[in-house]
Amino acid sequence: MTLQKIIACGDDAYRLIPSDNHQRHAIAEALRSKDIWGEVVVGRESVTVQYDPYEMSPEVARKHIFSALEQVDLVPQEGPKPITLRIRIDEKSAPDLLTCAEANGLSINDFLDRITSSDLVVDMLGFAPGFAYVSGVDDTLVGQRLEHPRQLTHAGSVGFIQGFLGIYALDGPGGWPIIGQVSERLFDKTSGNPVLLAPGTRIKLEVPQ
Amino acid sequence: MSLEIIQASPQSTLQATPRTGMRHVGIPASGAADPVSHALGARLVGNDISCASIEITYGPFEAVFHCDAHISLAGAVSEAHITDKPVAFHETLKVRSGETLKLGHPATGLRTYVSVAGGFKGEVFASSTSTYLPAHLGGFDGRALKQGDMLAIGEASFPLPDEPLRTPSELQLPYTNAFALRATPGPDLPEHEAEIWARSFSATRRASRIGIELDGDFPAIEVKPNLPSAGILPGALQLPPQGRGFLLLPDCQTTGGYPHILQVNRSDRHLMGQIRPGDSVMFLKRTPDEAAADLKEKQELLLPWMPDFRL
Repeated sequence: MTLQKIIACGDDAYRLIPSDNHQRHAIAEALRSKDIWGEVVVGRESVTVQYDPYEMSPEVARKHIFSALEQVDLVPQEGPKPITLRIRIDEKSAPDLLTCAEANGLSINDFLDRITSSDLVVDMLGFAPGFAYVSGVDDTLVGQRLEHPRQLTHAGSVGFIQGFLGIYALDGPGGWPIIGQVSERLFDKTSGNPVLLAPGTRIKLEVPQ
Repeated sequence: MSLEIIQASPQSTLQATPRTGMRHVGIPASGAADPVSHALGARLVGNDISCASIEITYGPFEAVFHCDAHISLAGAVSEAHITDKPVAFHETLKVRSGETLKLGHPATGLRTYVSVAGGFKGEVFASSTSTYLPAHLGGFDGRALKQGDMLAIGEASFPLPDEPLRTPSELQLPYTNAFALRATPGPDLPEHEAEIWARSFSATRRASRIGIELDGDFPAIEVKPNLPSAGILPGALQLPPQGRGFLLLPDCQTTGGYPHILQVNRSDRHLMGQIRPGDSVMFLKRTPDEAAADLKEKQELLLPWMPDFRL
């Protein structure tokens, strides 16, 4: 496993940039297999790992990182279980679906077929608790953020911009055009593990007939 | 066993320890913006630091106790009265049922912590009672306190001594209107940039538990547009294109795409919670190794009084 770069991100974190961007989730999993880090956060092209400088020096933290990277090659990482999500597309659940399909010169069915047949994976989470950036969307489909973000986007809403889906786990403001709403509960605040979609999760989207 | 809020403006929330190990699913830290003051307050009433205190931003604050209680005041110091009697910060105070606690505006600093033996009860989310306002999670219904709220108080974990406890004087940090924060270069600070360490910046009115905007002469930074979003932590100083810095506090997002130019060091992050609009902020340059030594020094100053507290 090779890194393109390892950058000190202040006094208690390193940012790792893998040579192969697809390795981010395996690296994060290998790091997490040792319970010595504060946070391990996957970004678009990086993994940020936080350590406690009272417990280990910057140099020791670096050594632990490199020994975890060796594990990535030795032990195949399993990754999270794939998840199937059912997506509702009635007018209330999918206010921007028709506009998005028309912008691509497609019927609603053809547009959705292109999306559901894409190889979808949770690329990272961020922006808000449980908000999942899903990559792998057929990148010939075009789409961009709404000119006027909504004050309220409902939990479960699936947004679309070129190359990505954005899945809202909670009600909140949102700037992505919404092409559907999943029926599954994505966030359970009473659970010790409140977020359903972990980084690296493969997703199958189904439109109930 | 409860406390009734009479006035809690402009913003008071329940805060305890931060949420840790959840940033990869987008869940921010939250917790006391000044965790040292919260911990000092907890210590005076025999609480574990996971017990929630009320974090009062600027005040005024007024509340009436519906039970006898031991309480403490820590953080930004203001005039404080129990009923009509002036009371001190940094010592255990006894309150009788029916008495009123009243706080004014702090002269310096921004956030005051009221702790009660047994802790204030709140909604536990992801192992912490701390309030995360943007998503209405944790704390008192996920929101800021307002008039009429009745906060339940937990059972005190051990009997308090008759003599009040006092915070050792060397741990009673005074605040001024000028902050010097030790920091290390962030990943997006140009290698030979030196000016930023010589200048001082001014906190604007855009200040919340998410972050504080800083105005001043920031270096012009050439970065490629659309930096890929990356994990980011409280203490980061970001420089958005409009040219004013944004210093991230405990409720900040978990990932960000703005240039990350400095990182306030772990040793000094607790001070960020006391910066108020108009205060000046300077950054003192450290290497990661120097920062680790600073952290060790401050941690060891705190440990004899608070063995379970970590910066």
